Amino acid sequence: MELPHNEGYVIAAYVLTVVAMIIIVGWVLLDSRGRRNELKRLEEAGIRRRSDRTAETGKEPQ
Amino acid sequence: MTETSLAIRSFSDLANPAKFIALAGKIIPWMAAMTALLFAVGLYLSFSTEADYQQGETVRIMYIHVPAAWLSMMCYTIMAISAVGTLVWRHPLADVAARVAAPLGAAFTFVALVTGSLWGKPMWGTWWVWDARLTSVFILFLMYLGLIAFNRAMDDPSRAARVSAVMILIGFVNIPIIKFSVDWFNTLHQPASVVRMGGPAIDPEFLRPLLVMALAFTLLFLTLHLMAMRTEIWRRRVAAMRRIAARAAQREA
Repeated sequence: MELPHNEGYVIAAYVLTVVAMIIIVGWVLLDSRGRRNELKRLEEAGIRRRSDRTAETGKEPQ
Repeated sequence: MTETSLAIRSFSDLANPAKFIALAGKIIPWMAAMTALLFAVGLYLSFSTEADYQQGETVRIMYIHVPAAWLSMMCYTIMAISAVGTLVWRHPLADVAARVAAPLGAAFTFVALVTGSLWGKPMWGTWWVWDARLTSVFILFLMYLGLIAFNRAMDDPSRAARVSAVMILIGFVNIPIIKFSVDWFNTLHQPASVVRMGGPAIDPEFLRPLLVMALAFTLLFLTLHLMAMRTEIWRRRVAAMRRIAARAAQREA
């Protein structure tokens, strides 16, 4: 029996999957980098959370 | 914070976001490397194995369709377990896990639907039918979108967490419906051929690439989920620090 020639569907399925995965991986990476940079900027500006101060001084917050 | 205090000694230590971030930072690179390796092997096998005597080349679509469909359900199951963690134990990371899983679940469900459609056209002669399996997976996709929209609409993540958890648990009823729809109803979609009573019903030639790809996709999901959870913790820290800064500025004024 001659096999059906449906390579177009296979290529389309793989290309669409790769595109979807690139979008989701890219989004996770960019979001991660963005938040990390924001956190760094705020820390450089001298802003500390109560738990950060506790960690530095070793004392429980009053 | 000292290095020793970041060590994970028991499961409950993971509830500490700082310890979770330290652990995630260590294992994410390894998981990403393993994912890449598995995809390399999986894709090689997907295109080097023989074509099916009936399906021809389109059998290769199965190597991405089946793992994506399996992940679409596993992701929702993780969200449901997290929802229980939020409601029962108020675990601080449970809500983070559920919230960031939704976009990932939507992406994998989208891939499952699109690749299924691209297989259906040459094999069934139609892009889509409203049978029980296809319809229930489409509903799953809509539920993911609904949960994403709800989470984005709520300003306060801690307030959104409990409502979101209840919605996730109500929606969980759809998961067994998806899994067993092919047995309960007369569907165009074929019944289970890998995870079934009596073992897999497909030839090892196709089972091998399928299992490697399933492992690769699962590891990809777990890596992305861990990264997204870490980012969400950072996002909440940034929000907390902005509030502190705003209050300090107000006092100065």
